[in-house]
Amino acid sequence: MTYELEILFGASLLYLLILFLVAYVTDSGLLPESWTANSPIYVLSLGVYATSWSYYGSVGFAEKEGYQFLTVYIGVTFAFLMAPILLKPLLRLTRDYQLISLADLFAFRYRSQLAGVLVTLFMLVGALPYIALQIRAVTSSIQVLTQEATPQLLALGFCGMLILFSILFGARHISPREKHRGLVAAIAFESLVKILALLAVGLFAVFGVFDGPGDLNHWLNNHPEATRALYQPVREGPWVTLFFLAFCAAFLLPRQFHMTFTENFSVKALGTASWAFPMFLLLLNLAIPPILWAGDYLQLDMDADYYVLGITASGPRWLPVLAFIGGVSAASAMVIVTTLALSSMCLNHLLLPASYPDPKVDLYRWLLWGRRLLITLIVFAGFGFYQLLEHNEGLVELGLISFVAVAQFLPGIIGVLYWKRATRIGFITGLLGGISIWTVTLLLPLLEASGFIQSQIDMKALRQSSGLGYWEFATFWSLSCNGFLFVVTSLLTRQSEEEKSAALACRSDATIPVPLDGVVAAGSPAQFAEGLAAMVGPEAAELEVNQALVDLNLGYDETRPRELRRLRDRIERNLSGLVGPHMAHMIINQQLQIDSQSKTALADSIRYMEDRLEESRSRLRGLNADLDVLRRYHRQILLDLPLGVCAIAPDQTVVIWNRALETMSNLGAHQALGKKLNTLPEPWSQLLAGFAAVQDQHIHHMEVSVDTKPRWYNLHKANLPDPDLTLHDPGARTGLVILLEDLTDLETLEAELAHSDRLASIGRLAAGVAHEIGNPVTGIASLAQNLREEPDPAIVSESIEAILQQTKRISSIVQSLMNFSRSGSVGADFKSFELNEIIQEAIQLVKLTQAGKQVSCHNGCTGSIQLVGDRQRLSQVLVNLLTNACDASKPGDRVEIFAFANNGSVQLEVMDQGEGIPKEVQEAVFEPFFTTKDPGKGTGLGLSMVYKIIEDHKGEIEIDSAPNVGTRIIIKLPHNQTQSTHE
Amino acid sequence: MTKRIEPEKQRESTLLLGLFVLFLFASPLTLWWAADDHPWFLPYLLWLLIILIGAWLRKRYRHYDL
Repeated sequence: MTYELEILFGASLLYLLILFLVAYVTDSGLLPESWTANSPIYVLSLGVYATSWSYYGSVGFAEKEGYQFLTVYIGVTFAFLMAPILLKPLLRLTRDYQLISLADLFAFRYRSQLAGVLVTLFMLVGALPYIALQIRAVTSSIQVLTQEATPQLLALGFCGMLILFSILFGARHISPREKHRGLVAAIAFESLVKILALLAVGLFAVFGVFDGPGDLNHWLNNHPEATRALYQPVREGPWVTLFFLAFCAAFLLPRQFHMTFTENFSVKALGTASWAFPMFLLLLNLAIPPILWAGDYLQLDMDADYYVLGITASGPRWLPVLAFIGGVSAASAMVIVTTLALSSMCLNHLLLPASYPDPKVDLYRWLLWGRRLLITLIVFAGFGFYQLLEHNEGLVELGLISFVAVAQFLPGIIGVLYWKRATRIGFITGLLGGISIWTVTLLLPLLEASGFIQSQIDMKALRQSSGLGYWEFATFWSLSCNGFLFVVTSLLTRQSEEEKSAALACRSDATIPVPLDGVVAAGSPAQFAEGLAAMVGPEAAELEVNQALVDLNLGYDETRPRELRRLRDRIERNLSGLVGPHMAHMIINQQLQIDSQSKTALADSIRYMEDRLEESRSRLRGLNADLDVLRRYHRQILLDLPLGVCAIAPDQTVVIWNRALETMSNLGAHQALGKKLNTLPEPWSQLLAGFAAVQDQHIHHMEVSVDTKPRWYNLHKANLPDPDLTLHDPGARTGLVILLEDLTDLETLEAELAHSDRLASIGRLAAGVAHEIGNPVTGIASLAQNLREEPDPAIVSESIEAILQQTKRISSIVQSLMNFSRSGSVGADFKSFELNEIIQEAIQLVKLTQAGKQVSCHNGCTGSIQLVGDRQRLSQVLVNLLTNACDASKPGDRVEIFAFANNGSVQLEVMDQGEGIPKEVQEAVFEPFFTTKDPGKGTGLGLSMVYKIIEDHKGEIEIDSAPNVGTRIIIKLPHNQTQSTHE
Repeated sequence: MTKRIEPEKQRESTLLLGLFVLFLFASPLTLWWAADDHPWFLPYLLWLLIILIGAWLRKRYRHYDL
């Protein structure tokens, strides 16, 4: 059965239109993101690995080399099963540092533009035969179906469609670092088409050519040579070499690197792909042996490479078209993705370094059009290669040449992931060595076979003398030479500091980050944009700075040195995705220089280092991991300490602001960290900066107004000398740690206790008060009774005077009681008052009690003594002391109170003639709830309140007591204290 | 603490699986399974076996990726 060219052309056109539609629908957001950005789509998109080589060439490969064709997929399976230790670290690197190609990865790790250029050129040379192979597969498949030579115009048209698709969906965004969801969906669709097509052909082989699995088995039993032909090459051929080459190709081929890392949208998807992608490959290859046997069974007179098409000729009419479309999908997906990957590499490592655009030019547009131009050039270069190549090389040979080429990057990858001692010179030397051997052993014979050159080297004789096969010889010697030069040169050369730092960043078991080596000279995002504008133009500079600010959740007004340092790093990473790591590093180093003169202290780097540690925590191992656990434990202690902790760097910026301090200040750590103390909101700025400035290491009972409410704090501080700074300069600035102890709750509790104590006293006074008020009330009642009938105005006037006197007496008692019982707030204003007044009031109140009535209270205060303090609380002191004195006295004893000014202080003495306080008890009497009275007669709070109130007034209290002689309580108060001295 | 050990276990399991794959497909063991009298689908079965082990390991440590 033959087909008209027009039918195949129409089918291809229709298929490519569907492909455009899939990409367009995905890119324009018409489908929900969950449909297009999920693990199955990612896994299918990795199916780009299976090109026309897999689709058509596997059958031919199986015919020649038996099951060795499986190595090409089992090697990939091995690489993907190793994803947690091989692909995941690479994915992390490419995501963290925005590395969009293998050339970017090497340029970043070895800090070398030359490395990027070499990798790009070699990739280009290695990939062009492969692109040519895809074009050839499509044209040959048309030839098989039409039995006519394929017009070159058709091949050119196919290339044109691929260029258009690549430009529309692969170079659509301004920045290449953005994901191309449309492209990924289209490639996934292509994979689906090719696996379905191949499985359909496989099923036709079993059920259409043979009469089901039973018939196939029967045929196999009758033809044991068919199975033997599959197994024998495994035992004799280069199985391990091919397995190894496929392992390398799984992630080093440009298209695989692009789909696996650059277009990856989640680590989870890579995890799924670690088994699902090998499963896809297994299913794809399940159809190959039946197709081969079907071809043999039908005794097809054609190259086994095209049995996939050949056996369908006897099937339904749609099947060959489906099989052909499957081949087109395999070829087009490979060309599109390879071209995109190569265009990014060529742009970053060939075009940009050769002709960096003028800053006046719109960088983004320049990059976009540069990329589009490169896509066109690469596809046409592939087409040119296809035109020039003789058709005597099989599909597999062309593919394997590319495989050996990309395997040359394996030593470099080992340097990226595992060997931090590897140097750029080692990498470049090794790669050049490997490329040379590859050229001599594989490329030259290919060109010779195509008639381009006449080689003088007899490779066949060399190979035979080594005893190795074709692929084993090329692979072994190219990689041995590469690896040897890589290792030896790396050991003989030294790394630059930049290379060391990049090598550390690449290690999968990241080590503890080094402290910052300086601060950025630019002091604000605006200055960053200004600096960058000189290289990338003002518009791009502004956009890049804003993007980095958004990524880091920072504002445009950011000025904190550490945050600016992070911003610098972020911009470099983002620029890396745009112009490649080497160019980005150069731009940043030139335009956003580090001020190395400003030596930074360890404290300045803490946040920067901690951020890095948090990023790499899951990758820490061994001692580093243990140290990190210890660090987190200590940090947790600081964060959860129920005291406010604030650590300050030598330049007065906050580096630790713990949770207790967040609660106290209502200021989140993110608002305080990195800020200078004097830029914090009030009152914290004044409180902390003021305390940091004074010599005192402790300040007690500091009153601060927070949200118009008074709060009390104890402050403590300690110096934090930085050994790095003080080693050379003993007078260097040091950091500080400040502790804040919130006393407000304690103060409130004490006020409540004092009030309770007063209420308890009032309870005790109640009976006396009733009696004291009762007598004048009775007197007033009698006088009022008499007044009703008293005609004599003189007596009336006298009675009224007496009533008024009695009323005054009542008022006085009530006033004293009210003064005493008022619930005073903590920190009430200190006022000046007459000491004698409160002594008199206290005596009056105490005389209302039963005990007070039985003793003689004497006020020995002579003259006027003005005191500044809390009148009500000092009154409470006197009432408590007098009550105790009366309680301790026997009826008829004398209780005296003296007060006199003495050398700037006022001394108050309360003396009784009671039983005295035993020596062993004297130290305990000021403790709360300690009492020697009978149960129910005392709260045990009286003297403790006295002690607290006197302490608050910066006074002293002493007890001078002798058993059975009496007790003297001596209080000394500063004479002219004011509220300001209290603070 | 558990979270820190999980990646270690995952790495160890992956390495063991890798060694098993090499033992199966890159050692003289190939001479055994590639014997002429074995059914044609044996390589596919061995391939499926390692994929299934990989899928099981992935299921076991899947939360570590998140």
